[in-house]
Amino acid sequence: MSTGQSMLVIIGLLLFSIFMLTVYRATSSRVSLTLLNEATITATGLGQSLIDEIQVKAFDEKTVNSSVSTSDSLTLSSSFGKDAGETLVTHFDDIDDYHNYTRSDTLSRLGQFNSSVIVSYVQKFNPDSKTSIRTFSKRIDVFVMNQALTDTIKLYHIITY
Amino acid sequence: MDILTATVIGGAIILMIIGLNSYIDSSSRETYNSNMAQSNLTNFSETIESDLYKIGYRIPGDKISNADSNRIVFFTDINNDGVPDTLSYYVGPTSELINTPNPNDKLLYRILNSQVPKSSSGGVVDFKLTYYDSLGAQLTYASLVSQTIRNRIRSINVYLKIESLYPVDGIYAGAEWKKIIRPKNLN
Repeated sequence: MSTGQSMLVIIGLLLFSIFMLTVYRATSSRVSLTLLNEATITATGLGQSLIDEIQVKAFDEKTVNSSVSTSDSLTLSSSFGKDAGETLVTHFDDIDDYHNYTRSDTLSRLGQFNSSVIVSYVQKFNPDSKTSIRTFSKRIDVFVMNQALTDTIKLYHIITY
Repeated sequence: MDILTATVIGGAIILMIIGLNSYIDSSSRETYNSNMAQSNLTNFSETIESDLYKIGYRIPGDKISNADSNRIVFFTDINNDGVPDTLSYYVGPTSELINTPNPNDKLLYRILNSQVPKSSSGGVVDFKLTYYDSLGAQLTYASLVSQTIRNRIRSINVYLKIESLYPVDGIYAGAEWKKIIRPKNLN
């Protein structure tokens, strides 16, 4: 075999190796994508479930047993979080008790899903804008994380009193 | 010498092609099975969610007549015609699907009134229901034989796991879904 022929064989093998690596990479990314889809479906269900749980609670600690007519009567955003005596989630009685709340769900296939919640006031006519001023609109942001997810799943819901 | 070298290189290439072909084949089957499981899971979960949210709709009295870990029977006006309907969900035993390669799959039944049970295998391997009262405390299955306790149900945790009918390298692709449903007419 001449040097030229050897070079052609080596180049051929090199090209073939590159082709094989490309195929492996493409197939692997497809499998990863399938896993990502699975995690997204599960995480979305868990996130929606948490939002459902929160939205059936009272709008504010001040509206649990009575009604309020001015937003200044509502809980300050700096006081969001569980109230005194609320040691378990089953004790939570209003939306902002869930501020900074975290929960873990362990499922058999994809393991642990960690969910966290942020509650904030939003402007009445611009619900995408969070504000520290008390308003009759609260936004619930739910974040769900899992090792199979490339990014955190984010869901939000706005409740108006 | 040239023939020997060519034989070695050719043999190596053929082995690489066979390996690649096998890898592509198994990963394609795995992806297909996984996509099927996810698609089935989405379809099942949409139907279950839609039905369970309607528990007690336009029903003045008892709303749930049977509540167990893998069976629920409830009343609702499913088609909004003013006539109460009875809807039930339950999973059958694995022995109903002994001819499928997956030894754990079962039939998930949905029965509306006295209609013929509609079932679908779809790879359901687990369907579990858990019931909670207004304080979020879990109600035991033993206690749920009592109608008084069933009337305390405010939310239902549904867990559904789907697996492919065929394994790839001994592993069944799958997907799972878990959601706590709070029917408006129970709250």
